Amino acid sequence: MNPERWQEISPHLDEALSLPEEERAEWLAAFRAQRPELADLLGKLLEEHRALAEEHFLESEPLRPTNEPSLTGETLGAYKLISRIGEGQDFVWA
Amino acid sequence: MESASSLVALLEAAERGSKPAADALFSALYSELRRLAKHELARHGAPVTLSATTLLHRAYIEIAGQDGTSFPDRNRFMGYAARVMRGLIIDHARSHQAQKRGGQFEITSLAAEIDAVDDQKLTQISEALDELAKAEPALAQVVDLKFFCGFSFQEIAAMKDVSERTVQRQWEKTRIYLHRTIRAGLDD
Repeated sequence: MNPERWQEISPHLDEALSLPEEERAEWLAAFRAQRPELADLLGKLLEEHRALAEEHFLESEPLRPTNEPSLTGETLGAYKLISRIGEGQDFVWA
Repeated sequence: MESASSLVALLEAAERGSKPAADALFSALYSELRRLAKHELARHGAPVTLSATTLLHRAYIEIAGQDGTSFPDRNRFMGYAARVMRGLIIDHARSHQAQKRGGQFEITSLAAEIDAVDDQKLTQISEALDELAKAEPALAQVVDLKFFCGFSFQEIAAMKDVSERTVQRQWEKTRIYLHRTIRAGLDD
């Protein structure tokens, strides 16, 4: 989307997104009466928002461990790894 | 690395819109973050787990503590450094792609297998964010802090001195922008 178009639609998108999902259709209908030239695009963007939420777009960190060999039982310095107790968003740097 | 006082000067010039200052600030922070990551490796003598968030906090503490010059504003620092971290992660993803071994700044086999799609997608996201930052820098920054650096909505809200709801809305809005830009590349 070009930046000018985005800037034009941006404040309206803010307004729509601040409403609960179930109120957005009604809000959009009212908006359409006032700004028919922007309403289609806004409707598409809200639809897109539903789709991206479903596919969890950008919800996992960019570098995701996919195949972690077990380190259980390994010795690291003075420590022995007994069991893995959790994981977070950490990356492993070397 | 640069002294804190020259980084402060660069930050201020960058915020006044100086492109050379912004570039210099970027590369100074980039080297500093790389240096810190390597330092951590050397200190542990083995691959270490270090989150982007931790790395940023540590960089700030080191820079702020230098020369007795206090860096004026942690939050402005985090905003810039998060953009730099995005560059670092993308560079890493690319080099990981290009050569499974031999990169200086490497995530070991313990961690990530990044497939080609992810690498490309990250680059697309980054380009779209740079474009968005020209019009709405606050939105691009939320993605840097949240997606690339792993800060929570709550932490970002505190940093930017806005409500958590505002940050969430900015995040949702930017996701729409990015999704649309990446998915379609269409103009409306």
